[in-house]
Amino acid sequence: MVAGPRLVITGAAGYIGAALAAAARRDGWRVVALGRSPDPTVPSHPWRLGEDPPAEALAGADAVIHLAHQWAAPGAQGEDPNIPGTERLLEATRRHGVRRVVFASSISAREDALNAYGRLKWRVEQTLRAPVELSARIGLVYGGADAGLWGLLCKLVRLTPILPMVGGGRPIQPIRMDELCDGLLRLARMPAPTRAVYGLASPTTISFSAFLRTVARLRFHRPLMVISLPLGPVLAAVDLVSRVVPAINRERVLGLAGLPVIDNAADIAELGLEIRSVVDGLAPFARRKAILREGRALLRYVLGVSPPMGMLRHYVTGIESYGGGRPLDLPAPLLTVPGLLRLAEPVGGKGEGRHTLVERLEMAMILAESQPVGARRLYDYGGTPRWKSVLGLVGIGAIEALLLPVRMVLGRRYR
Amino acid sequence: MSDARPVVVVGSGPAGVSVAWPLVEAGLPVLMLDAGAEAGPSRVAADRSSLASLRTDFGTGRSWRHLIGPTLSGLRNVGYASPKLRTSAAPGFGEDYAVALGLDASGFRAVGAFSPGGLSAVWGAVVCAFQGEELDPRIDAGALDESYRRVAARIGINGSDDDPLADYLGRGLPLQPPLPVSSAAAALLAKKGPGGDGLTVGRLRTAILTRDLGDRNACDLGRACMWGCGVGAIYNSADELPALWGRDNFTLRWRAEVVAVESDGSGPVLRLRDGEKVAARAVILAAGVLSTTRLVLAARGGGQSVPLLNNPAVSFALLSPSRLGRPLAAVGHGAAQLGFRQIVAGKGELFGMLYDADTMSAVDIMSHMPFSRPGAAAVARRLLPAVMLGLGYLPGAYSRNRVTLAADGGLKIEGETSADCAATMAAAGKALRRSMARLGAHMLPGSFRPYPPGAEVHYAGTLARPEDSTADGAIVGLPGVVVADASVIGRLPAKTHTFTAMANADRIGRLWAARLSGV
Ligand SMILES: Cc1cc2nc3c(=O)[nH]c(=O)nc-3n(C[C@H](O)[C@H](O)[C@H](O)COP(=O)(O)OP(=O)(O)OC[C@H]3O[C@@H](n4cnc5c(N)ncnc54)[C@H](O)[C@@H]3O)c2cc1C
Repeated sequence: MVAGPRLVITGAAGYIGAALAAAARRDGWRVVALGRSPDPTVPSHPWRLGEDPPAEALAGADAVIHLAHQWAAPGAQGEDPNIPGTERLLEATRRHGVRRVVFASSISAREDALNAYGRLKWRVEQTLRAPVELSARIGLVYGGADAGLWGLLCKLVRLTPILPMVGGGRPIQPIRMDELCDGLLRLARMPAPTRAVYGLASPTTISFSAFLRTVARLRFHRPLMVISLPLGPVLAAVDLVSRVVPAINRERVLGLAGLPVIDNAADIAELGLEIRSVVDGLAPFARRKAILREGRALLRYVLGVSPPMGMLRHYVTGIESYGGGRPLDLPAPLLTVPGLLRLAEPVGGKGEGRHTLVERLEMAMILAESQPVGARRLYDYGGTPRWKSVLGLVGIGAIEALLLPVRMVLGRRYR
Repeated sequence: MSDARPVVVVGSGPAGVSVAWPLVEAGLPVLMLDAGAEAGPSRVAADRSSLASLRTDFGTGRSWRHLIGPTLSGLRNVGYASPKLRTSAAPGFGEDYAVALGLDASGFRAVGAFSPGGLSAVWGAVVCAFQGEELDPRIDAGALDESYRRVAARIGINGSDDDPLADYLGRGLPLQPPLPVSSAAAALLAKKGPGGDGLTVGRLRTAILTRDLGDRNACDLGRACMWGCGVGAIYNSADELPALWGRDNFTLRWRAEVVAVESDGSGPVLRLRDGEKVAARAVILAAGVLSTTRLVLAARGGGQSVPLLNNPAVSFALLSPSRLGRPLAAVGHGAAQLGFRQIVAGKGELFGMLYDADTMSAVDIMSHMPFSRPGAAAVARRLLPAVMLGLGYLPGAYSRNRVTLAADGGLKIEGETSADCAATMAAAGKALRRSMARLGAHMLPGSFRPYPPGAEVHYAGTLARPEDSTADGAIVGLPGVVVADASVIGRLPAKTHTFTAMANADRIGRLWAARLSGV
C-alpha cells in the first residue's frame, strides 16, 4: 500500500477538527492528532497549546493544520496564551522543515476588530512569517455536527419562533463544513500559494437574519421571525445581565455584530473551491430531515410500533441510494398520524422505479422484515390454533373490503 | 511447432466453466476472460444463522446484514424481475450490463450481469435433462448423455430415480441423495391424485449438495436459500474457478470485457474494453446468450435479426386450508421443494416448481395483495404456513422474440409471444387449478400471473439455425469462433435449460479439445 501524505492537526477533537480529520482521511492523508484525538482510530500525541510538540509528532509531517484555540479564562490578565503557544508550535514546525502550516484564523481578524477574538486572531496571524505558513480566515461555519457556534445557532433557532437580535441585517459570509475542510486541505497541499492569507468563506454575502431564517426553514422546518435591535441599548443591557449570567457578555454580541466583509473571490478561485449558497448548502439537510420524517411515519405504519433508530437510518440510506433521494410530499396529517395511511394507501400500482408511495411502503416493509421486530409480525414459527387463524383471516378480509373503496378514492393521488 | 496462442473462453458462467474443463483436461492452454470483477466478499456470511432465527431471534442482532446485505443493496427495486436479484445478488450486480450491451428492450425483461459465475450466482439451481423430441435434433443425443453425466458428477445434483417425475427429468444420472422435503411438500406428495388429469407431482433435481463435494459443503438446512447460500451447497460456477486455476494450463482474467471479435488473417482476435487485443487459437464464446449474440452479430456485420427463445412463464399461489395455523418450519431447505408437470390436452405442457411461501420474502407476496400493508401483513402471517408458491414454464416454441443489432452496435430486443401463447397459458392455469384442487391445494384467486417475457431468464436459440452455426457450435462465416452457451440450442422444452446448456458446452468442449490438440 502506498502511504498518503502525513497531516498533523491541532484541535482535532473540536467541531472543525473532527470533520477535518475525517475529510482528510477520505482524501488520502494519514492523519495524526496533536492533542486530543477525535476518535480512537486517529493516532494522537499528547500536547497542549503552549507546550513544545513531541518530536515524533512532527517528524515526517507534510503539513500541519493548526485549529487549536485556547479560550481565555474570564477576566484573565496578561498576554493571551494563543500567541506564545502558536509561536512555539511554529518554531517546531520550522525546525522539522514542515512544508506547509495552515493557521485557522477568522474572517473577523483585524488589528482594529470590534471584538477581542478578531483582534487576537489578527495578532496570532502576525506570528506566521515563513512563506510556507498560511492563514485561513474562516467565515461562519455551518453544517456538520451540531457543535461550535453552528450548534449554538441551531439551538437558538429551535428555541423560539421570534428572535430578537443585534445586527440582524449585517452581511455574513458562511461556509459549509465540507467546503471548509476541502479548502483547508487544498491549502495544505497547494504547491505555490500566491498570498499569505486566504479567506475561506462565501464570496457573496447573506444577511445574518436571512441566514437564520433559512436554517430554521430548511433544517428545522419552521418559520422564524428575526427582530433587529439597536446595538447601543443592547450592549448596555448585556453589560447589566453579564454580571448575573457570565455566558452572555459584550464579547459575544460584538462577535456577531462585528463581522467585517472580506473580498475573497480571488482566493476562492485560486483554490478552485466551490461554495454553495446557504439555500443549496442546507438543501440536503432539509431533504434528509424530510425523508427521516417520512420514514418514521411509514415504518411506524407497517411495523405498528416506533421503528428502531437503525431501521430509520436504513430508510434514509435506502431512499437516497435507490429511491430517488427526495421525500414524497405527504400531507402533515399522514406524517403525524401514520395510521391514517390505512385509508389513503393506494390500491395496487407497484410502480417500477417511479418512487411512488407504493414503492416506499414496499421498501418500508422490506426494512420491517429485515429485523425481528417486524419479521415476527409476518412469520409465525409458533403456530396458532386453526380456528383462530381462519377467524383472523375472515375478520381482516372484512375490514379490508370496507377499506377498499375509501382507499380507491383517497389513494388515487399517491399512485 | 506448437501454437502458443491460447484457446480463449469468454465468460465464467455455467457454460464457460463447462466448456473450459474438457479443454483444460486435454492440456490445451486456456485463457478465460470475464468482464466481471474478481468476487468480492460474499454477501452471505458463512456463520449466518438459520432463516427462522434471523427472523425471530433478537439475540442474533443485525439480522438485516444478512437479509438486506451490509450495504443495504437488498433495498433496490428490481421491479418484476426475480426477487432473488434483490435478496441475494451482490451490490451492483447487473447494473453495468444493460449499458455495456447497449440493450434496448421492449416487451422483454433482459437480465444479465458481468460477474464471476454469471447468473449462477443467483440461480434457482433446478436442473432437468432434455429427452427425445425435447432436444434440438442437431445435437448428438448420445454425446450429450455422456456430458449430462459428466456435468452432474462435477457440480453435484440431488434427487432420486425412485420418483414420479424421474422419467420426465431423466434417469441414470449420478445423483446425491435427495434433499428432505418440507411437510407441506410431503403432504402434497402423499396425496396421489386420481390420475388422468395430466398432473405429475414429484421431487425435483437441484444442483444443491446433500453431501460435501470438494470445497463445497452439504446443505445446512438453514432454509435461507433465497438470501444466498453460506456453505456453497448451491452450485455457482464461480466456485469451480479455484480448481481450474490450480491447473498450470489455465489462466483467468477479470475485468476483461470483450467488446469485439475480429480476425487478423491467421485467427480470431478479441478486442477488450480498454483497447487491448488478445489473439487466440480459437475463441469460445460463453458470455450468456445476450452478450454472446451481440458479439457474433457485430462480428458478422450487417443489420441482422435473429430469433430469441425463452420460456413464457407464470407464477401462482396454492393454498392448502388444512395447513392453516401450523407453525412454520425452522429446519429444512429453502429452494424449490417439488416439481410438477401439467399436460394440457392438445396444447403441450407446463413444467414448474413449488416453493414453501415462507422461504421467500413475504413482502414480495404481499405486493400482490390488494390490501393495505398492515392488512396484507396480517393476512400473510396467517396464510404463509398453508401456501406454496409456484413457477411454471411453457415450451420456448410459444415465444416470438427477436434480437437485432442496432446501427450503434447495441442490442435491440423485441419481446413477443405466439398468437396462442396467452390462451395456452390460461388453459394450463385452468387445468392446473383443477388437478391441484384434487390434491387439496387451491389456487388463490387472481394469483395466476404470467411474467413479462424474459423475466424468467431462460434464453436460448439465437444462433442455432444452420445458417448461423454448425452442430459443433462453430459460427458460420467466422473461422475459429465457437459458441458454447445456450445461443446454439435451438429448442426449449418447458424445462429449465441451464443443465442442458452446460452439458452441451461440455460436449462442445470435448469436441474442440480433440480437434485442437490434434493439430
Ligand atoms: C434468478 C434466476 C434464477 C434462475 N434459475 C434457474 C434454474 O433454476 N434453472 C436453470 O436452469 N436456470 C436458471 N436460471 C438461468 C441461469 O442462471 C442461466 O441460464 C445461466 O446462468 C446461463 O449461463 P451462461 O454461462 O450461459 O451465462 P451467464 O450465467 O450469464 O454468464 C455469462 C458470463 O460471461 C461474462 N460476460 C458476459 N459478457 C462478456 C463480455 N463481453 N466479455 C467478457 N465476459 C463477459 C459475464 O461476466 C458472466 O460471468 C436462473 C436465472 C436467474 C437470474
